[in-house]
Amino acid sequence: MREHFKKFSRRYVQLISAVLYNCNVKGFANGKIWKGNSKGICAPGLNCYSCPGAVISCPLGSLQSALVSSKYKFPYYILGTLLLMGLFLGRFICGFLCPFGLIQELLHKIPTPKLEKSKLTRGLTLIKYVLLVIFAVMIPIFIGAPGFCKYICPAGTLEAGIPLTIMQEKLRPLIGALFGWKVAMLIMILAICIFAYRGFCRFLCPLGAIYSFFQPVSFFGVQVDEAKCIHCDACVRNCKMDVKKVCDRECIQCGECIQHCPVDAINIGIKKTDNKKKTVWSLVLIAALILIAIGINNRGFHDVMSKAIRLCYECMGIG
Amino acid sequence: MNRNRRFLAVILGMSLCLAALTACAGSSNSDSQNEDVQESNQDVSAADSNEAEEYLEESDEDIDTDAGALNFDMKELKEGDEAPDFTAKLVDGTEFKMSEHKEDVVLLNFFATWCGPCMNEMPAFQMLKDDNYSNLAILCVNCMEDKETVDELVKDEGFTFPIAYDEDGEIEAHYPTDGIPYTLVIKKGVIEKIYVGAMDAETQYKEYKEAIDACMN
Repeated sequence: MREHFKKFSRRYVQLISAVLYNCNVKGFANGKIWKGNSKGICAPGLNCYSCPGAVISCPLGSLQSALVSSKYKFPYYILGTLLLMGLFLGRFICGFLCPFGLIQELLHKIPTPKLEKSKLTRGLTLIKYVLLVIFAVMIPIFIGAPGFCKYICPAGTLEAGIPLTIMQEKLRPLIGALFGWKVAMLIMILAICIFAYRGFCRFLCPLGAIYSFFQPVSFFGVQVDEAKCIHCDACVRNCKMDVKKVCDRECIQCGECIQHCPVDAINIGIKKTDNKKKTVWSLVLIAALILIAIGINNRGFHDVMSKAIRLCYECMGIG
Repeated sequence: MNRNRRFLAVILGMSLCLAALTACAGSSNSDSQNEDVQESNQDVSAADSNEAEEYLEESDEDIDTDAGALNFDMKELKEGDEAPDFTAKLVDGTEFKMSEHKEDVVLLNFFATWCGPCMNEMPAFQMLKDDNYSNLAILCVNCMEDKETVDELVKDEGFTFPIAYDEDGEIEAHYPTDGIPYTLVIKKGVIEKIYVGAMDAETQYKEYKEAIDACMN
């Protein structure tokens, strides 16, 4: 039993967080979304707030819809929250707290020939930074549409678009070319995830791209004890992500390298850092707290909630 | 390895605490929603004396059902229903009372500045306003944004049709909808047509104009 929990503890944390994000069971039954105040809180992982079960907001969706109206109100609260979550957990969120990450890992269990990581896949990981800049930031600000949600996000189509158009008859007339495009994107992304481990996460997810900036300074995560390390590269060779070293921008801190280390030099937990990193960490923490304080004072919590208690037709692909 | 186990135990513990917190947040939230419902119920009954009398004649059971009717979770309105009354504060400082437009055709829209499709269709309301219909009332209700945001939007875009603030969602509670844009065409206090979502301003202008013309005849 103990061995079982040790082996599958990450899977349990992923499952618990997916259930926590989506615990409005009644919504799945009647096709209505949750409209409580808890939607003012951003979840760490990618989880569409138009999903009938969702009780908290998607940070990426909230960021985009806030950027759409950023000329009227700057999204202090969301930026502060993203900064705080990234600072404490970095891409640990991708590995442990993202429901769509769990879906991708389960899809990869389907027995088919798998795409091995290579220089090409490492290169493809840069796509997510392009998507972050163009679809999640530029399109919302300059064109006034949540670009990533509207044209790409598979979570919105899977968790909200498809179930809600099945359950709510009045939404069906809104189905058009965009819905067709989004369903095609979803099928394509799910297919990629069957052949490539965490295909969406590695190549396309802008939220992962945001958290990757915090990897060098994040508070939690995996770390190599340089004194013990024999530079055998077993950790990098056995990792299914496109990492070049432990805890670089592509590392999702899943901790699977720990079991492959012959000298037990890798551990997961609170990272030991030097003074320079501690200073950076403290400065970012102060900035995050200031942003959150300004945001909350500015009704930021209310703003996130007021967006997330409404169906995002664009996220669902029917806007 | 020992350290890893301790760490995972902490994570599991944190998840459980979060679960407990979420559960509590959920219940307290529905409580506050019920309070809101009761408050707004009183508002409605006070606003219309006839309704208030009928209201008092109803049994306790019916009152409970009505209380549910003003919840955010209340059943959405459908074509043929009576348009619920409300009073709205407008950007230009005046008030809009639904009950004062019983003889008019009312075009009621719910929008927000962060909603792309809403912003795209806004010029349609300006075009309808510029058509100068004699007994048409247009009202766009902003969904829970700050007054400053709405003021700035009006200043930026130069809209002259009536736009109402609804910072706490009181008006919206009477017209529950899952998503916006949400537009209703109301004739003599009865909902004639409901639009969910929107295309571009030109298309919406034609659609609304057609519905309004049908109501005028």
